[in-house]
Amino acid sequence: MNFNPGDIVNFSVMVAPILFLLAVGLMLMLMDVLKAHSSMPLIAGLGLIGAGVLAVLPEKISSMQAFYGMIEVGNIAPLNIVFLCLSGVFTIFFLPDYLKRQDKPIYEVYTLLIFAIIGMIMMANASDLLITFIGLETFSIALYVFAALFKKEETSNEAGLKYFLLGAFASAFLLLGISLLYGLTGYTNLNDIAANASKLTDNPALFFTSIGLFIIGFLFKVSAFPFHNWTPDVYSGTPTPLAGFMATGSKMAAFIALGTVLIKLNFTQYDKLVNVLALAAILSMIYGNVVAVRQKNLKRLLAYSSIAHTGYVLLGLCAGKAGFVAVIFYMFIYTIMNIGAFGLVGIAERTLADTDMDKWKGLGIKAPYFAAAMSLFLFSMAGIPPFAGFMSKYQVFIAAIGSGQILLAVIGILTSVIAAFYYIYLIVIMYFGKNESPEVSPRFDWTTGLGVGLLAVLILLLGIFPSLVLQPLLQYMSGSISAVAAAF
Amino acid sequence: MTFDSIFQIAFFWFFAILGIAGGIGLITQKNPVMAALSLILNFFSIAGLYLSLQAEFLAVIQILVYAGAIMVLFLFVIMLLNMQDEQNQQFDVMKGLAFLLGLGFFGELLFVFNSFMGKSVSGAFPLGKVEPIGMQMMTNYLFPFEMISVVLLAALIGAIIIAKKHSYK
Amino acid sequence: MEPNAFMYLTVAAVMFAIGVVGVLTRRNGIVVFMCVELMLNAVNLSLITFSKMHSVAAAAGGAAANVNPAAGSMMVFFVMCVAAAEAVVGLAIVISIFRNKLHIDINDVNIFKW
Repeated sequence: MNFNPGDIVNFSVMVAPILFLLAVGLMLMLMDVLKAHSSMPLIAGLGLIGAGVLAVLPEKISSMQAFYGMIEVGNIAPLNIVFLCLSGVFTIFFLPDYLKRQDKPIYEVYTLLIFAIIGMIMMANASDLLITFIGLETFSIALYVFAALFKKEETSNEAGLKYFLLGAFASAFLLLGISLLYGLTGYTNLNDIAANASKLTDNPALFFTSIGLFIIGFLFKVSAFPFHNWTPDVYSGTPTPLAGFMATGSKMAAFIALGTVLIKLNFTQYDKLVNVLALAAILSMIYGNVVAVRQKNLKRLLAYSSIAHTGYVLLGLCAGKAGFVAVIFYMFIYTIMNIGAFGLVGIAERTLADTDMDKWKGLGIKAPYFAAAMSLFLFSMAGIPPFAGFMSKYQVFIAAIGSGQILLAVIGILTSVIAAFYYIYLIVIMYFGKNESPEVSPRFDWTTGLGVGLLAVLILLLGIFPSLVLQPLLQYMSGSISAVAAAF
Repeated sequence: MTFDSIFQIAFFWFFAILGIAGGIGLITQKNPVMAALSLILNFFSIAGLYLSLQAEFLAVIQILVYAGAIMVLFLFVIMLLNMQDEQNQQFDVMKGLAFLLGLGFFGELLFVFNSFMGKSVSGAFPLGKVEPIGMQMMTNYLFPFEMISVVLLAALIGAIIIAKKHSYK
Repeated sequence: MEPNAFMYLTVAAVMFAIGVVGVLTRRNGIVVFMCVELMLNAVNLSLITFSKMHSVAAAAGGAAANVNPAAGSMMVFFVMCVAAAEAVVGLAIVISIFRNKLHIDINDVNIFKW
């Protein structure tokens, strides 16, 4: 055995962001006991920012694994950590206000949020399938609890049970896929599997079954078409800002993990796999957008739109290596606008009694700032320039066209038009609907105001200067993936 | 054929059939308590199969953790909540479809497992002992070993949030 | 015939398929979750079979020795840990539902439209 105490110290320094977040999570538990409740969101947010800083502080390393090939610490990993931590920070802007409005002082949420982000970081940067699985389960368990958080409400109960049972079911499939891959190659380490790629092609039936089961597990987590059924119910039962987190952070981690695995296995050479992903992408885009048009409840509308957005990201994934930057970029932009939209729905939820769309009539006059912010997020989600949503969709489509998936890109553009319809319909309702909203109108307090302002500025900034995120992404990736630079 | 190999074959078939019977019992028993007991039978026979693969330590852990701890938790909750038998157990179209789906899935797995036909699993298995497993746990698998604590802690906190009585509505 | 890898894997496949059928047909939330546990155990059995198979192959040497027999056995531990953690959260959710409704039939608690 190659045990060396010095190694452990070195490795611990490499995974410093994870260890730091763990310390923050434990500190939050302690603060809960000591009744220091009011400063918990602040500490959680600062801790997440600190972890992000710790991740990008060291010099850029091309690709390197810590803990004997368990977790990737170089390559794209530092940026993943920053993005995942930011999704947590954005959520924390809206969470305290929401819990206060709902009269449910559940302070353990912040600890669980930190633990969920640790799981996401592990999963996104795993270089061993065992770590992928453990990371997935870490954040899944936290998300099951988030779904069932309001335990006195039946909607929340049902969301929790549904998400839990289907999530555990999907994990079993994922695990069977990992097991078959292990049986085939003799390794669970991705680099070892990639080094023994000839074993994969020796037995294509077993390989496709294993990777198919693996993809099924992931498609469930990102709510792609055949496994999307839980999404609207779970999102509408989950506390709204946490539903936003569920729709963004976990999907970002799952997409990065899936993309890493597929690219390590060099999946674009197997047409079958690309076709399966392309089919899931097409059906998700069409189904999500078409069904969203009929929705009258905002949370369900956002849930169906999140199914559609999953389709767009899958479209980028089909492009292989060249599309991976576009996938991460898309997920980051989607994180910004979706957490913003869910956060605003959460603010309005208490004032307007529920999340019904008709209640939003006339808000454009009653609450001009609120309506303007919501319109901005919706325009961005619809992919209208100059907002960031346009740039992210553009990158994904360009990547798809660049890899020869013209049909996919065309379907993507056509379904974006349907999407624009229902997003803009909501804006029309807010500004031109008959004034039926009650006298009280949704208001920002300083945290939510700050959060919405920050997200809105980011949307505008990244819409005009997308290279602010794309450039670092390409730089961090340049060690291993150089073909991307040519594609843009 | 030596006595050893006859014994090995008998051992395998005994636990394989017992395990599958336990699984079938789980999905056919109306009473949740009976279903849980069937699952315990299944877990014991899986431990037997581990023994026949000479994974002794894992067999012990299987009985201690799964049959001992997790299933006791299940039984405890079932009895605490005093669950009734499931109603409406007759065979309908959806159940038929589910059965066909399971059968198809089994066929697919059998088809891909065909390539392992004749691969021997008899012989020494050093990883069945405690020592090599402990060595692995503290070297190559140190990171997952540390991080599994996060999973357990998150589950603990989560269970407390959901199950404890709060003062709020 | 001494039991070979295929026979163990067949038992695992049968158990996994039974678990799938159980999840799709049973209506009691706890029983559905027990079926998921059965599926996880089937996967564990297959992992240990593969681990043993690779171990035997590695001991024989040659081209087949290019494997890591430890990975499968170690993974089983972590799957057991995760299953225990999931069981705790799942049963907590079941208890919270039971407090509100006094039953956990997964068809009847459906107050959402699909």
